[in-house]
Amino acid sequence: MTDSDRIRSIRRILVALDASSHSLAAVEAAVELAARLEAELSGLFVEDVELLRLAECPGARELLYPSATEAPLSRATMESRLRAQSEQARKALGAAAERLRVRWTFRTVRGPVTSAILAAATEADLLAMGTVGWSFGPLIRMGSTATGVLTSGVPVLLISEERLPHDVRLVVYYDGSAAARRSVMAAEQLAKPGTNGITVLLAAAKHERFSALRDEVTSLLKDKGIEVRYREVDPQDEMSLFHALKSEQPGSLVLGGRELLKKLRAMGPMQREIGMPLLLLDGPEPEAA
Amino acid sequence: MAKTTELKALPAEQLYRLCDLSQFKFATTAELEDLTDFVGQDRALQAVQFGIGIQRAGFNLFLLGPAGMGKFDTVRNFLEKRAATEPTPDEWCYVNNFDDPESPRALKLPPGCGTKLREDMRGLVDNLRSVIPSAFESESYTARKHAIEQEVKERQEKVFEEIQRQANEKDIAVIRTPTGIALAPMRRGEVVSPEEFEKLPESEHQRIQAAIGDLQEKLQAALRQMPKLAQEGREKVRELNHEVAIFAVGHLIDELRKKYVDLEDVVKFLNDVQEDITEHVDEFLAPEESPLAALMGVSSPYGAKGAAFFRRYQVNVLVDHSANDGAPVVYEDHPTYQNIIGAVEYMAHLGAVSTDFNLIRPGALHQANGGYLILDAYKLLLQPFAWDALKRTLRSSQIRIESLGQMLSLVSTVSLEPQPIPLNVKVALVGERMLYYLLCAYDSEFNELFKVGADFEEHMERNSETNVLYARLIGTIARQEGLLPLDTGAVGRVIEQCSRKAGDSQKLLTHRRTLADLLRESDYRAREAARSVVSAEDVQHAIDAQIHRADRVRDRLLEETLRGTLLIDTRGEKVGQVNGLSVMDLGNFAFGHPSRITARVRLGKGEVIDIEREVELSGPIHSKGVLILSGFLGARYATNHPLSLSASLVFEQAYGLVEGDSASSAELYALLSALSGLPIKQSLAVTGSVNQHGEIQAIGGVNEKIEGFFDLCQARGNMKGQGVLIPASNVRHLMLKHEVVDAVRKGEFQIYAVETIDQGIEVLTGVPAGERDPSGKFAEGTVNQKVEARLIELADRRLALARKMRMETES
Repeated sequence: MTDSDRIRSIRRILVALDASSHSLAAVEAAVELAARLEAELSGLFVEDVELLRLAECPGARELLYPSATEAPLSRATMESRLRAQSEQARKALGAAAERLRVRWTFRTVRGPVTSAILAAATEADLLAMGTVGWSFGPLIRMGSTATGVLTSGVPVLLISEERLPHDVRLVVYYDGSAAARRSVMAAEQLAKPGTNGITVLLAAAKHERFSALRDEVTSLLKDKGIEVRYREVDPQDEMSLFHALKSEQPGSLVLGGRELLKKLRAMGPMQREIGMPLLLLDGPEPEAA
Repeated sequence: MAKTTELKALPAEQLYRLCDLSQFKFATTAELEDLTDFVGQDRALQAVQFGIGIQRAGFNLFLLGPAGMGKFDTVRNFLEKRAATEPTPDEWCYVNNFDDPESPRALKLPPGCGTKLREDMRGLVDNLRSVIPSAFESESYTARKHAIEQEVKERQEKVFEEIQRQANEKDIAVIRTPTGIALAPMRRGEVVSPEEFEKLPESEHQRIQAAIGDLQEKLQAALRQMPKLAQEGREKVRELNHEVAIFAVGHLIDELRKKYVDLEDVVKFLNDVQEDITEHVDEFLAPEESPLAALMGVSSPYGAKGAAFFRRYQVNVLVDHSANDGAPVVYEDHPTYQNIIGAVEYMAHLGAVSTDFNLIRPGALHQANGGYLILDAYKLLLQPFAWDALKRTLRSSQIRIESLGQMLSLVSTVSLEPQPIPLNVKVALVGERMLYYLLCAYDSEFNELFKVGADFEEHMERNSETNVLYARLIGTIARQEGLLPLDTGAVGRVIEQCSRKAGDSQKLLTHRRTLADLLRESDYRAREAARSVVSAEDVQHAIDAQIHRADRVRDRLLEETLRGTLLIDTRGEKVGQVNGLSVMDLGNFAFGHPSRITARVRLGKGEVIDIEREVELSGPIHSKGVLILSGFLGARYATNHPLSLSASLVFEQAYGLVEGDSASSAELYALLSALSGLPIKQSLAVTGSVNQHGEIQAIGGVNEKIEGFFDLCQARGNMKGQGVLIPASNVRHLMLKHEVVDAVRKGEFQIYAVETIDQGIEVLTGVPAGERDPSGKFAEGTVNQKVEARLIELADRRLALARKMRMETES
């Protein structure tokens, strides 16, 4: 199977949901992606057992948002709220999917969020998730979940509060790895001819490496009618990647493999400033140049 | 023995006034210059000139006269000539009132500027719809907006991070729940289970509770701070939007401000537009089409999505004078309330109606503002509310568009109250005289608002000078209508016919439509005969055809008379019976017909009974004529004794209303015949009214009456001695048809012009009327002597009867 075929074979997209704005952004993006790839959507809502445990803890307290008033906590109340949230998520997914005529299913499971998502992700070709900022607490440890899923070989679409624009700009982090090649092919699939082109960030410390990587990408996108812009980033310097992404239009979709994720995590809190959706695709380690 | 006064019949020359063709110095009317002024309307034209010239409130015009006189053309020609020399008035537009959209603002603009401003605004909006999105899609804007949002986010996160840090230090988890944020004790990164919590020592419980309490307070303070931070962020984004919008919009609107710098109102409008655009910049960034509307297949009446919003920047040019030179002259053929005052229209969409200033439609007053408005008075009065609205507008000198539905409380939707527009217009109403007089009598405002009445003459003098003018008028109409030219014979025949139509040999008809119709028909006949010039023969053909088309009723009456169904004698003599003459008017055709009038007398109390009046088939004027007869009889014959007769008069075989007094002389002749016992020649017919002194007075339709009796006599054949008695004062009205004139010339038919009853009775009976001698007596054997004798006899018999009855009563 070629890289292109692997992208084309995304037939099932799993979207992990709660009723937050981040999740809803993920829904929109996942539906948009599913429509473009003619894939089926599968919604998953996880009733977090940690929340249920929290509700039973005698010392726990809850402040309602946005009034900041204190509310009593109980397991029954929490279960009821989770059911309502699940229903809300189902409706949001249904409405978005039907608007673009995308086939969809939805299910609710109970368990630890990360492991439940990981379990479901094994049956999907792509996992779409809303990332959560610090404002409301790190309910999902996105980094570890994404890393886990990437290890399993399932591409992950991470969406922050930013919705995926209709004419989304595409930025590919290309370091010559198999995942990077897959990222270029995915970008080719997603790019609309005649509209925005693709920016390829070539991870090359030396000029020779830059030329070599550019030739690879040029070869991959040959005769596709897509305008490609190349930029050089230093693979050893996360700040180089940071500035390159910051200079791109906010809301651009960044594609790349585990190396990209590693570098983003290495940026620490600065990562939040970028705030772009990510499409992470894993693959075999790049061969030594 | 007294003798008759030998009243002579009129010579043929007096029966028809021929047009002298030698006065025409042309071969055909094609050689004649156009007549620019209307002939015979000096009074009306002076009034029109005055009405147009005077620039004072209330000096509007009313042109009165019968339909078809050319009143409309007259006033329009006058007005157009004058309007061409006057300046083109300003244009008026309605634009949105951004402070109060329900009260659109009126903008006054110099001629031609309205459409330019409209196009400029359209161009501006088109430009802005691309310029504004470009400005807001620019990398600099996106980056700045993102920076603002990021700043807000960071400020929010910073607050929570600090709480989170403190929570971690105290082994407290801060966790998002579906409805808010929870604080719970934590061990090894996980929330403590209830069982584990119970195992903790009391001191630990207290520490946890204190820590959670402390964090809760901080969290509450942070949460309360969130809306404020968000609001600050939104405010900054709004300021950024405003700044970007001003940058995008400002230079485009500045160009327009420079262009219209001399027009203060337009500059103010442009300022308002700029302010509104910067406040509603989101509308320029909205997608073109609503997915929901597209999904439902519903299209907006305003056009594409977003177009509805941009209507607020349009310019509704109410009056456009860009193609006009001079003041406007407007004729509104359908003067409804809306067509005069203007209207606010509505658009229906999904069962709801809505409107805006773009749906304000102008009325005729808007179009004519600064110029002249011509209206048909009858049509105007027929339209509900139109007359009142016109008066109200003229009185207030401003056009205020008010919805009829709102005025009558028929609709309760929100409507517009457009700013009134100052009005300066001269209104010319065109209508029948009756309307003018009724309005004068019953509408007190009418005299205030329409001070100038222009009364159009139906006739003009006929003389050598006016004949030439008339010939030019004929030529002008022929040219305007594309008709063949007329030779002099045809012109002469047209003039004679128009004199006949005027009912006066010394007058000419000024009824333009009648003249034009005759010319059109003559042209048709000439073309039918393959002639290039209309001749007298063609005109005569046209006249004959007109009569033939209309004379079915006359033919039937004549037929029935000839068959003896209708009893009319044209030979022999009869006592108490005379041929009266009446006219039937069928609208566009009138004809005369003889009627038998009979009188019977007997002893009575001095009353003359009009049988028509008794059965209410007599009009008031006819009844008046009959009552005059009693006055005449009493004064002439019964000064010294009571009038002791009872006479009855009747129009035999008349089954409809009898009106007019033209038969009163005939009735008197019949009465005198009945009283005197002298027979009346049935070969003669009579027309003319009579007064109490026995003088014969003029009547109408003399030509038709004579011709009506002539036709009957001619149809019966062997005419000899037949004729008609007419009032002498009607001789000047004679324009009889050629057959009658020829018959008179041959001595077969006579027309007598009588001045008194005595003259008439002599002609009718062949017996002298008689005059009183110095002793006060009529000569023996005269009509008057016989009448008087009969009346004295009746009086004596009445006295005798009275005495006898008194004696019988006393005994």
